[in-house]
Amino acid sequence: MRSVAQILLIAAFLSWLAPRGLAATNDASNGKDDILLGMSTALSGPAANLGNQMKEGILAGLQRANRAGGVNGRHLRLIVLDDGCEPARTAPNMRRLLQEDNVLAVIGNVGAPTTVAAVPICDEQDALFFAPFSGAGALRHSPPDRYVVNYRASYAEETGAMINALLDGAGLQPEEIAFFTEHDAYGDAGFEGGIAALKRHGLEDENRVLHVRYEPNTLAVENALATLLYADHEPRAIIMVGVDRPCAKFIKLAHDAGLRSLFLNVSFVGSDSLAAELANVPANVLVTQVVPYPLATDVPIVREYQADLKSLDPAAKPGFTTLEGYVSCRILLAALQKIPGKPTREGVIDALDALGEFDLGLGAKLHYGPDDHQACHRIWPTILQNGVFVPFDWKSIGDLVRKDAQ
Amino acid sequence: MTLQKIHRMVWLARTLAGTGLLIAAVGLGLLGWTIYNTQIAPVHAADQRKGMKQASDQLGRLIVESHAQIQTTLDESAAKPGENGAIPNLAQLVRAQLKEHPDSTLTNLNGEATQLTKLNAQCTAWRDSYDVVWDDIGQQRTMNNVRSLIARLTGAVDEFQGQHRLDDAIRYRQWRSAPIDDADPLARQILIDEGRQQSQGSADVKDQLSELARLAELLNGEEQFDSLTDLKDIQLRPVLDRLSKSMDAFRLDPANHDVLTPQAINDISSALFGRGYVLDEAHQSIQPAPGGLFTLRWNALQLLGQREDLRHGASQLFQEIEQTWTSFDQSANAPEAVPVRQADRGVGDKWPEMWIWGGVCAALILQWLAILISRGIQRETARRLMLEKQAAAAELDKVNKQLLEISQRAGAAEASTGVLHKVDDILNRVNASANVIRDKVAQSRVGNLSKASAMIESHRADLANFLTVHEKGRQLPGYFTLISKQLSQEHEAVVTELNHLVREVEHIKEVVRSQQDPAKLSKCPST
Repeated sequence: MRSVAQILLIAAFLSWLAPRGLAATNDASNGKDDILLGMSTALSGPAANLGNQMKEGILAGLQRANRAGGVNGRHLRLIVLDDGCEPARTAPNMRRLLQEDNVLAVIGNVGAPTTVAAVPICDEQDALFFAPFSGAGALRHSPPDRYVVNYRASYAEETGAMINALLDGAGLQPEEIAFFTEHDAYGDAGFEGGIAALKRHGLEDENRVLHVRYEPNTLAVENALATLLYADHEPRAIIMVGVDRPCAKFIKLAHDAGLRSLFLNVSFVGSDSLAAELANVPANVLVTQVVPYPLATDVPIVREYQADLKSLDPAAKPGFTTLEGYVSCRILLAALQKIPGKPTREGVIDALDALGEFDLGLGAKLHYGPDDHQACHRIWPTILQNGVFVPFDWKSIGDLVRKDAQ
Repeated sequence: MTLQKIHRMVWLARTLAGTGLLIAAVGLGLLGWTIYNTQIAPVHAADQRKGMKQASDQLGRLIVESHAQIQTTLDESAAKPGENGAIPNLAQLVRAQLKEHPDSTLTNLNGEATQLTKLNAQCTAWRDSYDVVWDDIGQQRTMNNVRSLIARLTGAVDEFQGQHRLDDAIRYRQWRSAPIDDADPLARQILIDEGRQQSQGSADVKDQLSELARLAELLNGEEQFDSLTDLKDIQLRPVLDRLSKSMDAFRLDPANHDVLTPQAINDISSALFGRGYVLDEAHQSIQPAPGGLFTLRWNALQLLGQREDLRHGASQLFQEIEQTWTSFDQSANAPEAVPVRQADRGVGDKWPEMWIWGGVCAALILQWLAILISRGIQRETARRLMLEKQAAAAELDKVNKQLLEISQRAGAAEASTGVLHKVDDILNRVNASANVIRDKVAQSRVGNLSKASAMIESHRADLANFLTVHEKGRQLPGYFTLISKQLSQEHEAVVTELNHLVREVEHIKEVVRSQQDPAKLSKCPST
C-alpha cells in the first residue's frame, strides 16, 4: 500500500514537472530574453525573390547561432514583414517592428526607396538599421548616420568598379558607355556613382553619356531601348541599375534589335532570377557582386554558409543574395557576442563601432568604426555563362567589348 | 457558638462564595467583552478606514488606468488593450465596495462604472472596426491595389507606345544601315507608322491615367465627406469615362495585349468604388460598393467621427467619475475622524456599563474577600474550639486534682482549728508585751543624756569652772543623779516585759510542735 502511494506521489510530481519542462524548452526559444531582430522586406511583388533570399540567408546565420546556444545564452529570432518593396508599406512595418515588437535591430531590408523610408524611423527610435540590401548613397553619409550600418559596397562603388574596368581594362571612352536605370533613388544612386567615376576619368560633360530610364514596377523598357537605338553612337557597354525582369527584358529586346553591347548590372538586380530570365539569350552579361561566389570552396565563411543553408533548408540553392544575408547576420552576431549581458539598441551600435578591423573568412578584411559604417568595399564581378553567374576577372573585360560596335 | 451554627456559617459562606464566583466569572466575562469591544472598536474603525483608503487609492489608480485604456483603445497606432484591462477591475472593485459600504456615492460610482463598461465595449467594437480600416490604410492595401492597377495599365500603355517607338528605332537602325536603294521605302513606311501611332491616342490615355493616379491619391488622403463625393462624381467619373472610350479606340488584339483592354478600366473602377458599384446615369453619380478605396476612406472618416464622439463621451463620463471618486476619496480620507469619533462615542457610551460591571466586579471581589475571611474565621473558630476543648479538658483535670487535694486537707484543717485559737491568744499577748517594750524604749531619757555629755565635752578645758560657775554647768550633777535613777527603772521594766515575751514565744513553739505530726499525715499525692 505504502509503495503504491509512493508511486502515485512520484507520478503526480512528474506530471507536475513535465509541463514546466516543456515550458522551459519553449521559453528557451520564445522567452523574454530572446534577441528579436526585425526585417521589412519584399516577400511579394517584383523584388520578392530578393527579400525571400535575404531572409533565408539571415535565418541560416541565426540558426547557426541558436544551435550553438545563442548569443551569451540568448536565442535569436527574426520577425519578417512584407512591404512588397514599396516605401508606403515600409514605414508602418518599421513602426510595428520597433514600437510594438520592440526588436533590437532591423536587418537586411531590401531596396533603396524602402530603406530611405525606414532610416528616419530607426533614427527616431534609436535603433540599428543594419546591412540593408541596398547600395544607395542615401545610406552612406559622411560622417555616417549612427544608426545606419552597412555591410555591402555601394552602388556607386559597383558602378565605379565597372567604369574603372571598362575605361582602364577595356579601353573604352566615356561616351561609349550608356546607363539604363530605374527611375527612382536606386537607379539614380547607381547612375550618379558611375558619372562620378567617369568624371574621375576625365569626363567633363555628363550629357555626352547616354542615360535612359524605365518606371519602377513596370516592364516598360521599350522606350528606353528605342532611345538608345536612335542614338548616333551605339554604346559598347551599358551599365544597368535596375531589377531582374525589366533588365532581362531590356537585354533580350536589345539583343533582338541587334545591339551587341556588354551589359553590366549591379548586384541588386538579383543574379539568380536574371540568369533564369536570360536562359537562352547569348548576350554578354556581367553582374557585380558584393559577396564571393556562393559555390566557392576556398572561402571559409562560404563553406560555413553552404553547410548552414543546407541545414536550414536542404532544398535551398546557394546564391549571392542568401550569402549576403548570411554574411550580414554573421557580422551582427560577432558584434552581439561582444556585448556582456542583455544587448541594448545603443549597445549593439557601440559593439559594431568597436569591432574595428576584423576577418570573418570572407577573403577581404572588414572594418567598422564610429566614422566607418560600411564593412566591405570589395566588388566581386561575375559573368553569365550557361545560365548561371560565375566568377569573372576584370582583366578579361576587354574580350567582352565588341570592337566594331559602331 | 455551637458546631451546628459553625457548619451553617460555613455552608452559607460556601454558597455565597459559589454564587459570587459564578457572578464574578460572568461579570468578568462581560467586563472583558465590554473592554474588548471598547478596545476593538477603534481597531475596526481604523481597519475600515484603512480599507476605504486603500480602495479609494486603488479606485483612483484604476480610473486613471481606465481612462488610459479608453484612450489607448481609441488610438489606432497603439496596441489594443487586452480583455482584462483596468475597466473590468474598476467595475468589480466598485461593486465590492458598494457591497461592503453601501452608500449613495458608491451607488453613483457603480452606475458610472456600468456606463464605462458599456463605453469600453463601444470603444472596443469601434477599434475592431477601425483596426481593419487602419490596417488597410497603414499597409496601403487598397490604395496600392489602385496604384498597382494604374501603374500596370500605364506600364502597358508605355510598353505599347514604347514597342512602336522601338519598332521605329529598329527600322531607323535598319534604314541607317540599309543600302541606299532600300532606304527610301523604309523611310516612307516609318512615316506612315508614326502617323498611325498618333491616331491611336496612346498619349491621351497616358494623360488620363496620370490624372486618374493623381485623383486616386487625392481620394486616399481626403478628409472631408463632401470632397470625397465631389472627387467620386465630379472628377473621377469623367476621367474613367474618357479612359474607357480611349481604350475602345485602341481595338487591340486581346491575345497580344491582355492589359490594354476595357476590363482594365473596370478593374480600376472596382478598386476605386468597390466591386459591384453602380453607375447612376440619371443622377450622374456612382453608388459605391464595399471594398473600394472610396468606401474605405468613407468608413475611415465615419470611424474618425465616431471616435470623436466616443472621446467626448469618455471625457464627460470620466469627469463625472472623477467627481464621484473625489467625493468617495474625501469620505475615505477626511473622516479619518468619523470612524474614530464613532469609536470614541462608542467608548463613551460604554462607560456607564463599564462602571456597573466594574461595581459588580468590585462587589464580587469584596464578596470574594468576605468568603476568604469567613473561611479564615471558620478555620480560626475550629482552631479555637479545639483549644478550648483542650483547655476545658485540662481545667477539668486540674479541678479534679484540686478537689482531691481539698478533700484530703479538709480533715487536717478541722483538727488544727483549736490550736490556732490558742496560738492567736498567745500572739495577742506577745503583741501586748512588744508594745510595752516599744513604749518604754521610746519614752527613755537616753537622748537627753547625750546632750549633757556634749556640753561637758564642749567645756572640757574649763570643766571645773563650768560645773561651778556656769548656770547650766551647775545643774549637771543633779541632772546626772536624776537620770541614773530613771534609767534604772526603765531597764527593770523592759527586762520584765522581755522575760514575759520569751515565755509566750516558748508557749507558741510548743503548740506548733504539737500540730506538726498530724499535718504531715494529711499530705498525699495530687495525682
